[in-house]
Amino acid sequence: MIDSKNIRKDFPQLDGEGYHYLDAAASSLTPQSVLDTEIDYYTHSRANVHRGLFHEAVNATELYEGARRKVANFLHVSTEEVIFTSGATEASNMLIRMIEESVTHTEEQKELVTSVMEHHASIIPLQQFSFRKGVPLHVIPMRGVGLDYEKAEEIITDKTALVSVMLASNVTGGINDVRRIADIAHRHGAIMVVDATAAMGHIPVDVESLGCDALYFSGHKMLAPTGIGALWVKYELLEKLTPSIFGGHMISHVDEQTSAWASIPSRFEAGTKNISGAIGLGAAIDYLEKVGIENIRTHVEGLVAYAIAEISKIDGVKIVSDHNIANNVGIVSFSCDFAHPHDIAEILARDRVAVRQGHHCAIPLHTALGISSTTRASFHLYNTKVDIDALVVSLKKARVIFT
Amino acid sequence: MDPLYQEHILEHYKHPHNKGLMDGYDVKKKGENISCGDDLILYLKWKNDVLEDVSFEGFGCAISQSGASMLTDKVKGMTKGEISALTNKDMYELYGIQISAQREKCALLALSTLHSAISGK
Repeated sequence: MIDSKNIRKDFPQLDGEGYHYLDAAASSLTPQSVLDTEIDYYTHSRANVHRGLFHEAVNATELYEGARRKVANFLHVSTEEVIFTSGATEASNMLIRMIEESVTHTEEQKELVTSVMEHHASIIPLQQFSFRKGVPLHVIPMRGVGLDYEKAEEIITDKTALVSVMLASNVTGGINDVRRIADIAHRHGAIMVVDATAAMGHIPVDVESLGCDALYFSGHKMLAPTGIGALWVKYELLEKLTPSIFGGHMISHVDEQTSAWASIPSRFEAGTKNISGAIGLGAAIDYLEKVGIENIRTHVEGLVAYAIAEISKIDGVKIVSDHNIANNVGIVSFSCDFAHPHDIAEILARDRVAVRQGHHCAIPLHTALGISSTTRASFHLYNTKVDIDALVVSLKKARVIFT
Repeated sequence: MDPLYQEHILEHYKHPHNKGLMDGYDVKKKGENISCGDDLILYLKWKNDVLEDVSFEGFGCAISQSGASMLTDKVKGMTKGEISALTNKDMYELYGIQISAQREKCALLALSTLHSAISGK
């Protein structure tokens, strides 16, 4: 069980009454321990990594590589398979570009498959791959608010070279059976890519049980600072990839005309990365593990159940999230027949209830559901039922104003 | 009274003027505010240089939709030149309140769509 009162003390932005941060799915709050770790780096170990021989540089390198080990342990993978990126967007762009350029696909097996519920950061790089190479991009539709697995069986064939599906939806909160998709993909010899961003920090993410070949996420949705994330790629695939971003640190030799790459994973980390962010991500993992993912999950499930029950009581509100709380990473999105999400969010903001309105960077999902946008309340370990009560009071207020 | 959702704004939102598809229009122009999903279609009917009739269809937030209602009221009977000369400030005057930076795009959607309908851009 989570002691909410004490947990909330760890998050400085929650200092004070009457503030209800329900936007974890856009960006989670950062605990003081993560901020302290970053400040400590800037205060005592401020140096570049992998280069200097002085004390602070050695320290910084140890902290940075220590953070890589924490990410690797968290995902149950080898340390050298973890690449630090600025977030899921950079990871996705890099990965897809590298696969496009490095993995030789035959004429018979070159098609791409994704799902209609993906985040723009996943779907657009695939669209660009498809345009550039003139290969088809097939899209797995939804059935209700989940994936249509039967259609996936039909869409993924021996012609499929790559399948990319998200672990959990950042709009509905629904957890996809990625293993099922991965098994189909592998049966046909395709590479399986997973966007784990919305799931990280909410459910255990073990790449082996997911059965994927590559996976990426952003730190800032799992209590870490902004501007840091990671890409994991299975070593056998990673070996085949030529870097797509070039610069310092990623080389073993450079002459006037050609260059040779550094070892793995250095060759995929050109330039000076977000050192303090990486160290902060490590501290966020420490914090999550201290509280326990299972405890967070139980707590958030309780909040989702309560939110669905209370919001459903309001006339004119339709919830589009997964009602099966065991299959929801803490997101309740809804539309209101009395007002547009932008107006709802404006009224809620007056009452210091922080939610997100719009398409949540998932326009194809909204189009598939036949709605233009939604209001999204998303929860994390620091939220309580009081936050949901405040949301409901504000929603009722909005209903009076716009009806 | 809410500082943003003033009575006249809500009145235009709940009971919009000039809303609906127009028969025999001369120009149809679609406007979009992708960040929040506002959607607007303007229909214009010209008599020489004068905007004889104007209507809109669409869905979106109270700010964008009330703006379309108020603006279509204002521009009916104006000349192309007069409409082209309308500024953002004129639009804000229709609202009669301070529009925050976050809602600027909503507030200016109707005017920018109208201007591009005239310029053809």
